[in-house]
Amino acid sequence: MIELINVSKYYMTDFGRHYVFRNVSLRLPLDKSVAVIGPNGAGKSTFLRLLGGADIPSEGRILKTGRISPPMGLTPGLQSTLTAAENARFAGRIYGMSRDEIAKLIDFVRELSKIGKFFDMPVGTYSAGMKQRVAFAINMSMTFDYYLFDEVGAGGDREFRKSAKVLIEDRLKTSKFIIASHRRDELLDICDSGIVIRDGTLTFFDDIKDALASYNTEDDDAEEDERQQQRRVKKGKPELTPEELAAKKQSKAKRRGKSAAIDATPEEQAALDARKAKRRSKSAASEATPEEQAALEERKAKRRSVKPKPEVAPEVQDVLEKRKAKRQSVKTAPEVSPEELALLEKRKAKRRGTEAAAPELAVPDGGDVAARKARRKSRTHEAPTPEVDAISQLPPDAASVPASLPVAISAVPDPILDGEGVQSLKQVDDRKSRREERRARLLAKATPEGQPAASLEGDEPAPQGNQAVAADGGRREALRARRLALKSAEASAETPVATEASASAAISAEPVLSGAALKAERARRREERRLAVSAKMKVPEKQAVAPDTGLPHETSHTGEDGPEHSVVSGGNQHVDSRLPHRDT
Amino acid sequence: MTQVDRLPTSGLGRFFFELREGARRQGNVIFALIFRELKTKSGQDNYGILSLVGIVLEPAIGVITLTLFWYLLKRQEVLGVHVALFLAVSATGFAIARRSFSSIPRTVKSSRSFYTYPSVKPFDAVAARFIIELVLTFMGGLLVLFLVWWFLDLTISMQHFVQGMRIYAELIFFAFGMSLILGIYGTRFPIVMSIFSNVSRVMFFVSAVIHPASELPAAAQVLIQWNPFAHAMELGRLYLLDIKPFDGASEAYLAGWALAFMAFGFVAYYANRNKVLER
Repeated sequence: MIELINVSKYYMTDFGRHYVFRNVSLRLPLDKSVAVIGPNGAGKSTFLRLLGGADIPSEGRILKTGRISPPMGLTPGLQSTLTAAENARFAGRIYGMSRDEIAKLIDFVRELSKIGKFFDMPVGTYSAGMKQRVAFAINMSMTFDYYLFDEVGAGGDREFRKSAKVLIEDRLKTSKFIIASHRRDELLDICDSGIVIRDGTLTFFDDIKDALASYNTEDDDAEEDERQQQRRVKKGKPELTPEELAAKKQSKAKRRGKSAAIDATPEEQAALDARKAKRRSKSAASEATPEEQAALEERKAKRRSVKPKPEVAPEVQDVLEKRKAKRQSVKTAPEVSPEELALLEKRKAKRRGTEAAAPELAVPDGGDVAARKARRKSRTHEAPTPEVDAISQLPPDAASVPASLPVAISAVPDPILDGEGVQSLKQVDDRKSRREERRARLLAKATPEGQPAASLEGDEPAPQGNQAVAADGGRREALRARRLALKSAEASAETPVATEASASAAISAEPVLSGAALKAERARRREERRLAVSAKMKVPEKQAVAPDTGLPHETSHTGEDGPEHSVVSGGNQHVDSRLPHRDT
Repeated sequence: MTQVDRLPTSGLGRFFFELREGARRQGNVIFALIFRELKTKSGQDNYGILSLVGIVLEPAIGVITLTLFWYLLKRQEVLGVHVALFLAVSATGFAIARRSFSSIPRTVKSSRSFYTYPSVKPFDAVAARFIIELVLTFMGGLLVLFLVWWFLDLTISMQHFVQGMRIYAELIFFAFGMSLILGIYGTRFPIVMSIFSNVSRVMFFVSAVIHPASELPAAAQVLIQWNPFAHAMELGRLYLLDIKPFDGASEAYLAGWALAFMAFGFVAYYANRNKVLER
């Protein structure tokens, strides 16, 4: 309990006595933390100094029970010639601590203040914030019934204030605080009741909110107004009239909401709450007239409505969904440590280097395509989409065309494989439509009059027309052959084996070849190449599955370009744990 | 359990409890302040413990310098006592008085940052520094006497040693009262401090420190009889060196001054303690 009995405190000035308090009688409860509020110069610090015994009342007396901490605040009680450790030791000695207790106290202060090597340097070399940290730590290192603080952690950074808050919350279980501060949130967090100091009088409020509400901020407002006017003048704007200032303040308070609520009178507070509730609650909507409600709904719908999506084929939808899932899995990939990242970068650079050194697929035989696919796969580490997979498993169309054509074929861009990763669906669609047009044009050129157009796509070859096309230009022929293969691959995207079969059938149906022997020979070579490619690209037939979860589990092997790493395999997806983003 | 919870309920018991608690608390504070003083003294010029050695050697250096000065004047003895021994006894006694004029009162201001601790008061700061200065001064005095004995084979008379110490004790009380008064008024009115710092230099020559009062002119002897420090010097030499003091040298006079200064010092402190605490 702290009781002030007819306490007056004055200072002698050139103009006579300046009273800070005049004949104040007050009793502070034992079980409440008290906020001391008041404008600058009202006497908050003097009040705390009187309570702490650092100052003596000019008249009257102060009765105190319990241990009261020294008032710590903007002027920390530290000797500048001593180090923080020596100051802490001094405090320990003052309170009659033993040597062991003092050692513990110093450790506590060192840990809490977190000033590093400065702890063993004279306090005179500290910044204001560091001094406050040390003073706060010394104060909190000892147990008191009342802790007196003048602006807790005002000079400290956010981290320090956070740790101070935690410590204060802990101490609040056993002790009480008397805090002078201008921070409303801080006071609301810590204190239960409040004292407002103004014009030499102290008013005690049992509830901190009442104290804050009672605290008239006229002085602060005047200062703020002045600052605002100065800012406007600086910017070359005209000064605001008092009415404008008041209106601005009101709108600002409205925006701030919570702080405004603190300043508001109970009636204003109630009105504010009602407005808030009306805005936010659903019941507020029901109070609106049917027309208003309808308008509201309409606006809401307008805001929320999205453009209708174009209709998409189920297969395309499938592809889209798969890509989306892949993107999401990339987004939710686990974090990679800097060391792993460095290693990955290194490997990536290495891979790029080898790619750069590799020939640009000058001769697109089966082996090169397979190698290219393998490289791309390792670069993107994405499971091939059905189309990509199907196409990549196709025999290279150049192999089925005359030897004079490879250069031309290699120049033909592959719509999917030659792009950077998987291309957008729209691009694919565009290309498809362009292909259709070109095919129609070719058909018109190559097909003799009266020949059905379907013969090109059908099983029956049209030797004459196709020979003419081949003679006309190998490039066109190759294109057509490839398109056919692509089409059949798309048709049988679900089953790669079927894709292979249909693609080979489509190619074998090509009327480009002349002579059955050559055809048979080429088919044989093609089959060999395909087998070679399949052997190279073969996925593990037996997928390793975790016995308990049924999910793919990790297996380890040594990579060719690095140390041992783990690979999670599952279906068509090959996930290399050396890479940062992979989530199966 | 708080300190108040442990308070005895009876009046007398409570009085003694508070007395004991107060003494214990003040002891802790003075102890802490003494350590702080030592730390400050040793760390003020970054020479560490050498700074303390310098403080101890200061009287010795003073005595050696003055002895050399007397030697230059072709004088080795003062009233039948070797000049080195004569100066060792006088200078040591006056050193504590001189410090009560300057360094001790300044501690009231320099310890201001500690007054946020409610148990630390200006009185404690003065007491702590006084103790430190006293110990260091007497260590210096003993060092000088040891050097005189070591090199010149001369010692003080132990016949009236207790009386000699009594004189020094009176001098210490007198100096403490002076420190308290100057600590309070010197802090409140800095001009007082600067005036008394200069006075201490003059006092060195008018307090019979470097020569006996009996050797001064008669007019000066009349004046010097008013100076309590001169009485202390003369009586100290009487008991420790068997040198006859000037006529009218009185221990009661010295004790009276000591008592008056102590009383005035406490009253001044009590009356002005709030003003000293004010920032």
